[in-house]
Amino acid sequence: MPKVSVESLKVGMKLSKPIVNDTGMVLLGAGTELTQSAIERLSAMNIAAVHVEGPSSPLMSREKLLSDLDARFRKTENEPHMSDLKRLIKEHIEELFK
Amino acid sequence: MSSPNWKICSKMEIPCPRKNNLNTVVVVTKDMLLCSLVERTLKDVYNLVFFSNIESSLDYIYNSLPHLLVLDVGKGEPSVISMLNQLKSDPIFGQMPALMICDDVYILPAWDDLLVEDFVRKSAIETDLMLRVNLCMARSERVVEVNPLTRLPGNIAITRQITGRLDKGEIFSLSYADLDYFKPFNDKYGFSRGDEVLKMMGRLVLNIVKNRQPVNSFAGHIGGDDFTFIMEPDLAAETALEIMDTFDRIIPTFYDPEDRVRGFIESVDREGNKRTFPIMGISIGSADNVERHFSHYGEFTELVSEMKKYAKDSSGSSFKQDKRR
Amino acid sequence: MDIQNLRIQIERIDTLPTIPKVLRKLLKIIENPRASMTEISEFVSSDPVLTSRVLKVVNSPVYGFPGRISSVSQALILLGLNVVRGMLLGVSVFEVMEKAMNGLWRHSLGCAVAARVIAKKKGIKEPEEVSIAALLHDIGKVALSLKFPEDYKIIIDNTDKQSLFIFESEKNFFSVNHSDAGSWIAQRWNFPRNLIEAIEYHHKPHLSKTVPLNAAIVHFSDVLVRGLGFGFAGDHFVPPVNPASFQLIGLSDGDLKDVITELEDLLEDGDPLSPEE
Repeated sequence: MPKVSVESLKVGMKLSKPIVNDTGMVLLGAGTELTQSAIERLSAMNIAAVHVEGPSSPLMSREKLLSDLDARFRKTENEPHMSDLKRLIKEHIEELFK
Repeated sequence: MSSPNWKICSKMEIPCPRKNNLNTVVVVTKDMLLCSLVERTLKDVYNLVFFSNIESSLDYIYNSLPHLLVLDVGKGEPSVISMLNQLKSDPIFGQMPALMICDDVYILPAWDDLLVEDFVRKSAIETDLMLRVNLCMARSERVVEVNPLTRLPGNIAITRQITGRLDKGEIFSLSYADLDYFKPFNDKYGFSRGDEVLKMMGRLVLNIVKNRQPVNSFAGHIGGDDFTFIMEPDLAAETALEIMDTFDRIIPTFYDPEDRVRGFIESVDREGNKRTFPIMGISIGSADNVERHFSHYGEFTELVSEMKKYAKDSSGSSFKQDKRR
Repeated sequence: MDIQNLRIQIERIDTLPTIPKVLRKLLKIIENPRASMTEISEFVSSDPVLTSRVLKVVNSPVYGFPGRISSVSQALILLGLNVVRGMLLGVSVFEVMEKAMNGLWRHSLGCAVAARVIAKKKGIKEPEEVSIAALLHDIGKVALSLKFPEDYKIIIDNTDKQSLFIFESEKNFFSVNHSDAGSWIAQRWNFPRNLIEAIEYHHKPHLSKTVPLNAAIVHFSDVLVRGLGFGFAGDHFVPPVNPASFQLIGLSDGDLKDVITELEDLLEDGDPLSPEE
């Protein structure tokens, strides 16, 4: 049940969680299949991302995630335990793309 | 305006440090002329802290409890008055006197709806402000019948509550709560820490009771570690349970780490023998006049005491309610 | 500026500002006369500034038991609904450095969740206590950037340009870092000793005498959340974990895997896989 940015929404995708407004009123229920006009309305409402049904397809590509991981571990990956930690996170990222 | 002992408070900074021994007065007004007039009048006698609206003063007040609040209500904005009343409804802050400054055209409401100690009209400020401020200070120093530790109503008020309700034919429940093993705690950790526990207990009982029943409930501090509360009969049991549960969760932090971990303290009993005492708990006894009829408040209080004694016989925090009919 | 002076300035801070998103939600909650203690408690617990504010008030000598309370739910019961509402009314908003602050909020929240997950995994009796410490561990950054906004912008720029850790950059500029600033505030505001130490030693957990395990968990939560790239703590690198503290916590690879998975699930709403904002 990944969260997908509104720009990446495609017609036919189904909402896995309802979209509610500030006062708690449900605007679009869970299970709603998105039409073009619905997507346009969501984008006009300044909503950044919504939950859709389907396999996990996160906002970023696997390559970007892994290269970011490398970049932030660059300074300390040779310190005790850090390479293990990095490995575990890397494995976790890989799982998301299976 | 750059007098040494005050400045208009920016949102982020605490006011300048106090001058020695002067009482602190919080002044709330948007009117700059009034500001400088008040400052001129009071600056040599009091530490002054200025705010332009009541919301921004609340944080300071709730953190520091000034000696007096001077509040400009102008023509009587309802939101300002309601915020003032809310502030004064808490026992600790209810004791802080409030002096209202109002426009000459303001028509004063019934005093029950406006919890101030005194007022002064704008046209009378030059002549009367200092006198009224001093009078408020003096008045608040006179003895008011509250428990000095917890500021909760004391015995006189408690008795009045019970007899008053009985006279009106009201159906209510009365509960007594006290602490188990409070004395050994005091002996081991000293009275200062014992007082902290009592103050915490006061806030606890008051707020849980008020939360469960915002209207027509009552919480009082009889003395020492004895507290009492009055509620609608249906609410007594769940309130008692919440008080016990919350107390059990908070009380460990008042113990030193080693004792906290062990779950008991070592101290001496009344005969001077070394003994271990478990972490404090609460015993609560409760009764109501749903089925019973009490012609004298003493009958009621005696029954509740009996229930509490019964509760004390069980180990740990416990609650016993009279169910005999 | 010398340290003495710096400390005086930091201790003068009466109240910290929060981010606009939080303020909007706060106003809604306060204005609702039927908001329950639980609702308010959960909301306050999710924000480092509101939490610090509530703990400051309840630990004020005015109430009579300073230095005892480190739980938000307990604090709210002891203060009462009226006091809580009144006190939250004066909350103000951070207008400078919004982007960085949003990132810091997410980082702090991430650490709070991580600490709770780890504490529960280790069967610790009071997970909330560690979680609060983790939520508040970077409160010193909020204080420093409030008092010295232009300087702090430079400090953050330097972490970028010189590839530094934020605490290195702070130290170069101020001679102290955010752990010190945070600990000064915590002491000034009468927070319980355990909380003060967890904040003070979150980069040097082995120095904590009273709560080595708590400090270790807060420290490791910080490392972990930065490792996952969640939020923005002021720099772009994962700091090294203190080996002794890591041993003290004693998580196996399997445990760690579980923690990471659970953490990502709980943080899902905050886009865990997107980079720092």
